[in-house]
Amino acid sequence: MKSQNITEYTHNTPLPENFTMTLEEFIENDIEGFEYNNGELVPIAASVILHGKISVRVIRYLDPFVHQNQLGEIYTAETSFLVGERVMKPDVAFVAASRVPEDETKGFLIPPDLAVEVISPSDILWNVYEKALAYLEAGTRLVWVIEPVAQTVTVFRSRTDIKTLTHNNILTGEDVIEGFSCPVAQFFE
Amino acid sequence: MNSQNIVEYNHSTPLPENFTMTLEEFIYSNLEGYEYVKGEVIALPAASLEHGIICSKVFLHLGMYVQEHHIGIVVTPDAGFQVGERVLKPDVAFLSINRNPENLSRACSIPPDLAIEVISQSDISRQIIEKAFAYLEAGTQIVWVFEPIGKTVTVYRSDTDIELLTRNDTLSGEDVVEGFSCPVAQFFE
Repeated sequence: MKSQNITEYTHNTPLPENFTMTLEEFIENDIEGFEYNNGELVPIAASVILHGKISVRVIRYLDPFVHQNQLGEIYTAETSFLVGERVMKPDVAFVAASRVPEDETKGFLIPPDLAVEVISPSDILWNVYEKALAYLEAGTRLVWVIEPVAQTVTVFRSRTDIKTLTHNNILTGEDVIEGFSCPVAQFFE
Repeated sequence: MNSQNIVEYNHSTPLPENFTMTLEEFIYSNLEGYEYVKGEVIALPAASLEHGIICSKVFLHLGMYVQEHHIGIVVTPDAGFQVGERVLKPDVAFLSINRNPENLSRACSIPPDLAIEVISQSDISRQIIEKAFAYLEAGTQIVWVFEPIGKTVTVYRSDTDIELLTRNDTLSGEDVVEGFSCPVAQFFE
């Protein structure tokens, strides 16, 4: 496929059936609203009010801390990251200062240090776990999955180090955003 | 709708669109392969081999223990339970010996003491959590949600008491299936 054709799809044209791209093509011509997994373009779930609100809360608490301590950068949902053989767009992401590339005109060719996903009403649980583990496998050090119905945050460190925090717990940046902490309840207030 | 019509749908006939029933009609008919949630008849997702294997391991470990100790009954997913305004069919369920249902020829009129769900590839995250909360609200004491990708079990005891176990942990029957315990890893081997 010529890159000219691909570019057309960035402008809200519905994708034709059985549309495929290589990983390289997707990185070169990132398509808004889609992630890339194993040859397939995977649409990102439509956001609801609650989803948007929680994403902003995460940024509201994380960004000032990261900025003041000059730890790195926080990125919002449309930012692409190369995660193994996938391209993913976490709802919020943190990249440590030492890993932020000079060229900021493209998506990241590395996974984030912290990936935050806020579960949407249509999200399939299986896919959420698969995604979290794909981040870890690619080198992401910490994944937070925020679940609005039960108001929990599930923290993934490795395949065997997964824990769910509830209302009464405090979420910390562990050794990834050192010194950061925030009561879980604050994300859902 | 008269009851004759309902019975016909038992025999694998696809349900017509916008098909509705009252809770009483559903309990009477006990449609195979469906649950009943707030007026809607909801098809259970098709089960994969992996799903079936995990269910059978749960059934084996739990069932043997419960039978040996004469503390109740363990049932498989075709059994419906009235859970508030829903009729749910947990993949595996435990009913304490003290709470034996009166009428075995119908869906159980009381919720199970322990409800177990094994996640399928199409399960929506939000619906799983809503289901777990519906059980707890109706009087179920513990809900276990087995998640095959991360090989985790999430234990729901109340809407603020939620615990995630990984394959290094041991699942306990707590005060519901007293004395039962089994390493999480054994269910996913």
